[in-house]
Amino acid sequence: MPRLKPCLLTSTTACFLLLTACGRHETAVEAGNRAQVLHQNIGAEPQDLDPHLMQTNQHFNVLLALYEGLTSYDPHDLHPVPGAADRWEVSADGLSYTFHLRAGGQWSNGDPVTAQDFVFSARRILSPGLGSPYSFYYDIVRGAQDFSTGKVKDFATVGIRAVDDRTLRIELRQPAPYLLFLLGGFAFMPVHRATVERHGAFDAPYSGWTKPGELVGNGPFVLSDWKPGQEIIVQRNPRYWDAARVRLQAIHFHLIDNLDTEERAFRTGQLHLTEYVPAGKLKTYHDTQPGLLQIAPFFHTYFYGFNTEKPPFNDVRVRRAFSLALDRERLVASQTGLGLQPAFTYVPPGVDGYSYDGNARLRFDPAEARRLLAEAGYPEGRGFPAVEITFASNNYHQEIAEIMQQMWQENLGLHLNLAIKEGRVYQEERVHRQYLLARAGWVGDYLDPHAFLSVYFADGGQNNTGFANPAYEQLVRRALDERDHARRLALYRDAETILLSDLPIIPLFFETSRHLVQPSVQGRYPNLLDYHPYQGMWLENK
Amino acid sequence: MSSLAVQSIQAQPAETEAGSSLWRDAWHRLQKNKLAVAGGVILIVLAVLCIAGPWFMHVSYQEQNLDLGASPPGAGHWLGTDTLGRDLLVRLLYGGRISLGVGLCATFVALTIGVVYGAVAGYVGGKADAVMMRLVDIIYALPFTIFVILLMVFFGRNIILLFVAIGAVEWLTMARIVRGQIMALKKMEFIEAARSLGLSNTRIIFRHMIPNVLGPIIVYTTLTIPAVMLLEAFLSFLGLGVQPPMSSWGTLIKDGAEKMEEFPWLLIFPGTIFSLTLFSLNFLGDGLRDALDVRAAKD
Amino acid sequence: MLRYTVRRLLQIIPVLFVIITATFFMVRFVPGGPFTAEKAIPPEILKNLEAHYGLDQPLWRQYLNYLRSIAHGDLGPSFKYSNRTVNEIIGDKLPVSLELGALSLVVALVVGLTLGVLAAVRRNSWLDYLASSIGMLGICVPTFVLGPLLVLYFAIHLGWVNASGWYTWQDRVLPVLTLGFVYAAYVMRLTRGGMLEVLNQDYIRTARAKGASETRIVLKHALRGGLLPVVSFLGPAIAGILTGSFVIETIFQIPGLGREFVNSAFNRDYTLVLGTVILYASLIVVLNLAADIAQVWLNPKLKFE
Repeated sequence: MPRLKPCLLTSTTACFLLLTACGRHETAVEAGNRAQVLHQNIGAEPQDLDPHLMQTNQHFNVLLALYEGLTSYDPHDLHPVPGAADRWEVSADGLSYTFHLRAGGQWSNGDPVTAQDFVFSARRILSPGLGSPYSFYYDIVRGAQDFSTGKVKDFATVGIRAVDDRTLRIELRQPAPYLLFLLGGFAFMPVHRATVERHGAFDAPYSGWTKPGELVGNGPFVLSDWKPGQEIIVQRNPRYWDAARVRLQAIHFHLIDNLDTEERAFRTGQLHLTEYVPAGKLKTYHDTQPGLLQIAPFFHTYFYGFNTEKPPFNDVRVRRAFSLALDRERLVASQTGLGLQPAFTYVPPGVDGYSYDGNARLRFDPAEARRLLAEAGYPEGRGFPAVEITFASNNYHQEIAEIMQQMWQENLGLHLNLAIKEGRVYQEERVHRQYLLARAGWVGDYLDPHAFLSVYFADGGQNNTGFANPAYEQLVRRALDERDHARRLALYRDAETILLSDLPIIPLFFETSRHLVQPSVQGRYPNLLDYHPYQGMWLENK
Repeated sequence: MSSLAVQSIQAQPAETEAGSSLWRDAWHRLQKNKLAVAGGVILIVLAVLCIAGPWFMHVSYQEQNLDLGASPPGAGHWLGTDTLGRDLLVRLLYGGRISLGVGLCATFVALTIGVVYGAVAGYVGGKADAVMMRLVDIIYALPFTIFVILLMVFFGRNIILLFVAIGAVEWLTMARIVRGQIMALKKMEFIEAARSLGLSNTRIIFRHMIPNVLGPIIVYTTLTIPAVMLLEAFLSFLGLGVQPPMSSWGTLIKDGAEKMEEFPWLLIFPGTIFSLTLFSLNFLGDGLRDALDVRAAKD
Repeated sequence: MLRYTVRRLLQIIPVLFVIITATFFMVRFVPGGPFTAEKAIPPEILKNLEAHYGLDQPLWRQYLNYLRSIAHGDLGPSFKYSNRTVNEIIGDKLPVSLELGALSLVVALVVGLTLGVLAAVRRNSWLDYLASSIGMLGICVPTFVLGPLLVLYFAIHLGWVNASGWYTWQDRVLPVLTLGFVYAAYVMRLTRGGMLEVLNQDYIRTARAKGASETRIVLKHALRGGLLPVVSFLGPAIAGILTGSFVIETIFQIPGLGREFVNSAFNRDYTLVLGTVILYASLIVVLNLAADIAQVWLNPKLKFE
């Protein structure tokens, strides 16, 4: 009898172990819910975690966990709220901002966050040696452009200086109503001087100071581990000024870059949050588990761009005909277009009260399209040169292009070929304008129509169409100077009228952000830029 | 491979050499092998369907029906439709033209290069063999994606490049296999005998050695064809290969794999026809191998 | 044999030199560079970045610099993963691919050889048909179909394992089975074919006539000759399997090197492309040498030339 007991015990344990090995185990999500550990996928691996060298918008959320600018964002609608600065004053002409840093603000190693840190950070990102792709965000700051292009070597000429340890003054060369918003973004995030300089010159790019154990930030979380190809782990930062409000103990940013793999990982309870939803799965979730699916408007326009310098698209009538021949409603009603919004304007509606309502609004009118095409010298499409639709290899872009091809065939009688290009070949051909008609898109970086309209300046690096219109640029610039909200929007509207009449691009639809979200994720709200501050997020099954 | 092999077998009896009876015997033996015959018949039927089928269809491979979208098999569309509402059957038949064409032709190219190269290297041996095989090593190691993109940069997009790109990688292993077999065969008594009779090297290689290594060649060929068909789908991703809205079996399977849960028919039908083809090829290949195996026949 | 091996190993140097040179110039002629992006970088900033990486120098000088640096064992910094060097990336990711590859290889050889030998010995029996069908299935079902199917059943339906990741031993099961199965199919087909060739050879008949047991004939005599094609195939195949599989690593989110082979080319990560190519080339040369040695060992009539 006494011998039987351990035997029984062992076999029960063995059975139990076998069961747990083979049966349903506690998932990462369930464990995370208990311990306040969020599992979020962010897709492809970030290049670096240096806010001044960020290449991709999609990784901004990781930076929001690690750093904090002078301002931060309200999680509902992203309006600027106090961040590292707890208050500020703006001069009457809108050109001078004075920020007061909060008392007791600390870096994750305990050093105080000072105004000099922000000056150092500005000098770093503007230094030509660093080669930051986002130094242009400072262009509105007095003297910044001259310094960043190397024309001027003396940083004292740049309008950013520390009045004292906790007071920072920023002077602009023109009013920028969106400055407070920009200040929360990555280009304006501070970096820790001693850490940066310990790894090399202050303007040495990619010196390795962002590795786990090295990186010092001032955000609500600190970097604790980075497993290449697997995950980036951040832990709650007890030194953060608002740490009392931070309820998540840790965030695991997973690096799953395949959409289908990501969705399967979500289904097995490995993820709270996905970066995207595969197109094929949208309808399934929508029909069966709508509670897990989160679709929201996104500040992103999907369009096709013309090379307006070469025939046949140097003729505005041809460009208009191409736009009029598109049935955007039908496109978004298809299975491919599920969850998208048709785009009859260029700037996505709903930003700062702006939504284009002028008479250049795009529409579907195949008869008028054929008339214009004939007027341009191609009746029934006869004599139209060979044109290819260029796009980067991707199933989604391909399906859209196939639909476009069909619509132009049906409504204009034109047969266009599809040209799939490997990603960088496509980008290279666009930049060098070795294309006639190419897929493109734009995501606004800040919540102002300016983020979209400034793209089509003649010297804009992202223009790629050959569009150049001084009157247009004049209107967009004047809008910045305009302090009256209604008049500013009117100027934007006039500018967009020019763009939509000349049509260097034809908008197709507005993208949406799509995520699969476990019901336990609380305090996270859909918004236009898909930015999600983690301070107010927590996990709880309700 | 199959149809080509059949052709060459049929062409042979015109010759009056001893070889002709070998080929004729082989042909008779092949006919007795039921599985091989079945495989051959299925392949021919498939090929005819793919070539002639689309002429009798009332829809084209690119005709969309956006309101319909993906629909399961039914009366209007026997095999269902894809997400753009295009008829899967027509797309499969057109895809078959591409895949069978590319699969068979590119494999034939790779096969020819690989067999000749491997046989020569194995037979000649010594320094020439060392140089030839190191060249194979080099080509193995060069980055394929870069190679394909470069090809398109310099020559634009055209169908010949597709064969060059596939041929460039698929002959390598074949060459290694043939070389290994030839080296072993070289030491056999009957080859030594042929050499002492003063037969020319070319004659020894092509008349006496290659026929004796047909077994592994056929087996590896049946392994190469599916690899080539799937490689075509990858090349299409790089912009070479089939251009949308045209499809190939490879691109259809890849597309279907992504939607297998929602629209299973998009994977099942292309997958089935792909497998059917490969099984048939394999049975035909096995039959051919047996038919050409002189020693087995003596039993 | 020692002399032969040493001589072949010395050939690695010229072979690598040719591969490095060809690859170096190939990647440079491909359109787009490491800094090409959807949002184009302003030209003056591009210039600074290129200067930082030495890309502003004449190509021949960059080439010489690169040769000098790899002579010191330094494969340079990665462009894409900018806070890591190529040495670090390979050091991080190669072990993962080696583990996945080695386990899959075991599956492939055990399953493939067993089925292949059985099918050949019991030719045209139901055993042969069954084994051959399994082999054909492995060839007909691509990994990008098999992998997700296994995940749907074992991870999502049954909930036995996770759908992706590379953390616990359970995470190894599905990727190893998927990758192993495909190679098993190849090994099976080649073994069966090779064995059938040999089983009819005179020396096997002689052995049989002398009354040797069938098992002994198969394992001692037939398998030796029958493995020739398998061995020729395995040289490059093992190099491929050990350096990782793009598809498997993507489907199961495995932090291996296989994805870097493909992605580095797409990212125009010049140094990483070269680093992975050098690694792969070395493996190819060494494993093909091993295959050649194995061939001689399997066939005593051959000599090392």
